[in-house]
Amino acid sequence: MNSLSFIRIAETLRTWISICVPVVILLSVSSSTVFSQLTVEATPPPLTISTALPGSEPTAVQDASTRLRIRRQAVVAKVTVATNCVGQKFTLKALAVSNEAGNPAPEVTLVHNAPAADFLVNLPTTGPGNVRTNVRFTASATYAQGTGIDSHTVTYTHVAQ
Amino acid sequence: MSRYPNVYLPESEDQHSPMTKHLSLYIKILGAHILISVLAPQSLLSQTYGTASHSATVTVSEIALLSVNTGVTLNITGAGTPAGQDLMTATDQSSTLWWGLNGTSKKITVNTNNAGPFFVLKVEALSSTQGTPASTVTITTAAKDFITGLGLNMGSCTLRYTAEALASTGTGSDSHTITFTVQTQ
Repeated sequence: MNSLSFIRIAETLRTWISICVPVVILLSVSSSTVFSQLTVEATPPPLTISTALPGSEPTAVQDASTRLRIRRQAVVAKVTVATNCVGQKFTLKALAVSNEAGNPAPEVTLVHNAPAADFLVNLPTTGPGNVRTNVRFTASATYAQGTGIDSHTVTYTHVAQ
Repeated sequence: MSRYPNVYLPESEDQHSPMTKHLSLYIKILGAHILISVLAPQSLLSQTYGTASHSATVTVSEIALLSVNTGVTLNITGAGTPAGQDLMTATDQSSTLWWGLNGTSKKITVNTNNAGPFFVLKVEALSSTQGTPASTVTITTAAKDFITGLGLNMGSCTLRYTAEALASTGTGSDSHTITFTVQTQ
């Protein structure tokens, strides 16, 4: 084998690698669509603020029935959270509770169109194939904010950490 | 025959120089990368494994909180009343009224359930943190404005009750259930 042949083989190999690697990645993304990496298993009921104690702002309400299922990845990963709520009036906070793995980030105050904030971090590469966590929402309002309804679309994103 | 006799033009690919081949290869790779950058989802490029969404609704109903902390007993003894004066009084300001209102244009009224009291009972809001207190209100079964100009706030005031009796009325006892009510102005 002369040097020219060696160069041609190396070039062919590089070409194939440059084509095959993205294809494999794209296929893995397609498979992730089939085997969802992040699933909302239970959604929250409406959070209704309707009571207060003398000398205090309206009593905040909490619900922790929302549950996420997160598929384990080959690298340490995290979940972020963000919300879309046009005309938001009231405060809504989210905190990971009863998490089977990872570490809850500090409670996130969900603000319309704010950048996604860490929600659950340090999700390990080892252990069960899926990790579950509950989401504890806390809704609060002040008298000055009046009455109304905030409709949020809360989005969780599973990313490499 | 070439139009440019001084330039060497290969007749087959095998005759390309290694430099030309490398250039061609890099252009192909660059093209593939651009294609992938355009076609691949952004999530792939940022190593996003998945997203999920759900709705969440926060509803704040109208809240009209009123609270008083204690009952009041007024004993008219006549002590301190100048001799010859028919009107005797007793006062108490030991109770506090709190409110919390997330509606707009509200007022608080006051009334009693006692339709035929022997004696006069009056109430006044002292040190009101919000709104405009009425002057001293004589409490009857008809609701009367007590504090106006409230809404979208919380606050408190001290309740000063004054009971009045005329010596000529004699003795007796009145029992009241005082009701404060939030109304829209």
